[in-house]
Amino acid sequence: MSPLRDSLVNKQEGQPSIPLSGFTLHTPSAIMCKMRLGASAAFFVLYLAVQIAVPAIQIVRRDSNFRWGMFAESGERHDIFLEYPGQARESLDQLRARTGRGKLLRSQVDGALLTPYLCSQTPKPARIIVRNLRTGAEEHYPCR
Amino acid sequence: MPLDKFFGAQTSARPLGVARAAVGIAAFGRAAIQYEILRALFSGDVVRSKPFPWLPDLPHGSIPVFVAIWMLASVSFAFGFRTRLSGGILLACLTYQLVLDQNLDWSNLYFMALVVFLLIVADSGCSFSLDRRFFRQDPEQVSRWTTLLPRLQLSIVYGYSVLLKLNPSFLAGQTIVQATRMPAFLGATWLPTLTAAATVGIEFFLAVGLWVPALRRAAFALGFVLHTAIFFGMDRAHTSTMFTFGLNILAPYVLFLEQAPGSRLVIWDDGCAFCRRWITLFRAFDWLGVHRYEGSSSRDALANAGVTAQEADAEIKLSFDGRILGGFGAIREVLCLLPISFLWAPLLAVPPLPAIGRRLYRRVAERRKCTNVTVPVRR
Repeated sequence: MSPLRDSLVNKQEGQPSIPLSGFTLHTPSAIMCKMRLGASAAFFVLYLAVQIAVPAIQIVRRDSNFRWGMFAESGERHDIFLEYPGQARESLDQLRARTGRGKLLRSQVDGALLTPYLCSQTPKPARIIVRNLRTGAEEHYPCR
Repeated sequence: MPLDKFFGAQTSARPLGVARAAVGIAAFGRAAIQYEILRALFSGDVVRSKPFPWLPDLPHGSIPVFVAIWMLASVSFAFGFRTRLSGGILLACLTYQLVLDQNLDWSNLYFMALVVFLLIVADSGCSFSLDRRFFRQDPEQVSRWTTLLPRLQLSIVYGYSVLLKLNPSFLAGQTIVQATRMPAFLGATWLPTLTAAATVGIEFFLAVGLWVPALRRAAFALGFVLHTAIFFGMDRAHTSTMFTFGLNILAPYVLFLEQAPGSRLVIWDDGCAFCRRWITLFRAFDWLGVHRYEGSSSRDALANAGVTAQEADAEIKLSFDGRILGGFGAIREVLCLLPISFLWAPLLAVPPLPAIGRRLYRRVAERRKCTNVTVPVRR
């Protein structure tokens, strides 16, 4: 620190800077303090922005995760089928009855993510079909 | 500068410590519940729904170890022992489950993870903790903005929950019928619709009312009623989950109790053994340290409060913000700031409870057995 600047800076603890003829000199502790405040403000704003934005985006995308829809809606109901080579179909309920496997712990999961598990069943299905009960629309996920 | 003032403001760390203890207990309970769920998930009977296929499952046979680590971290977090470390481990356990499989993407688990994260950030081990007892000598103060985040999180949760419940299916009471223990014959009446509407109304009130000082106590009471009703009313499959969720979501409510430690003066008849027992009890549960307890033999205390010894001997007195309350009113006001009672104590203001309380207090005060010995109580 230059002698001039040194002489102008108030070294007293807890008094980080002194105003001098329209400008302010900052001690290292004052700069740290400012940086800390800046980091606090950034974290505060960022956290809130994420917490407000994520559920809003999920609602727009009609995704059921991380949007605080606790028992809010029965949601879109789907039937899930395993289609075997030769067009034979087995519903998830039938698979459960036959093998004891195929439980879901949550009412809403992404249909596409179910494929690896369902495709690994025996006999191996050719594809998985997720049918929307309201619209009747079907999504097909081939087993590789 | 207002921004400097906002982010530089300090507040008592005690409410944060109390919230941390409650969340730690909830997390412990949640670990016990999660043991069976994880077993089912890894047994191969559950349709796996992995958003990140590269994330490994727990090795075979290690679920007990995982749950034990979670439980230990929860206990340590509740007691505030190495709080940031134990909180970090707890957060890691919760986060692992949230990203492992969509079957585990429950809002209550997500909320718990967020609150644990915020309590770590807010330095919740600063007070009401073993860290304080053994390792720390710094002031029991934290940055106030860190205590605002868990509270704002509450409003965000309630706010979005209301928004999503505004759909024909919920408002018609379908979810209420499906998810609660409501008897079938009531399902065909107006009760499910009324319950659905009341739920939406209460959640909206909570999102806003917690921030309005005049409405805050009503919000405490309604939040308590709502989550107690959810616990008792939901289908038995959800009972244990709803207990931990209720505890977890009610825990940040205590952060709204921002009265400074020692800011309220309680004057009591210190010549009375019966009164002493009650004051000892109040002191034991006054975890926020908001009240100072002074006997009626203390002239300074009487002068501070502006009451006479005779008045203080006749009934307990509470002095705060230039107001003096006595008897049942004082007891109720004290209960409104104790962490174990602040949620339900506002209900004591609902008629006819004040009239009953006053009569009961008078009756007990007249029949109490007092000694004539004045023994100072530890402050």
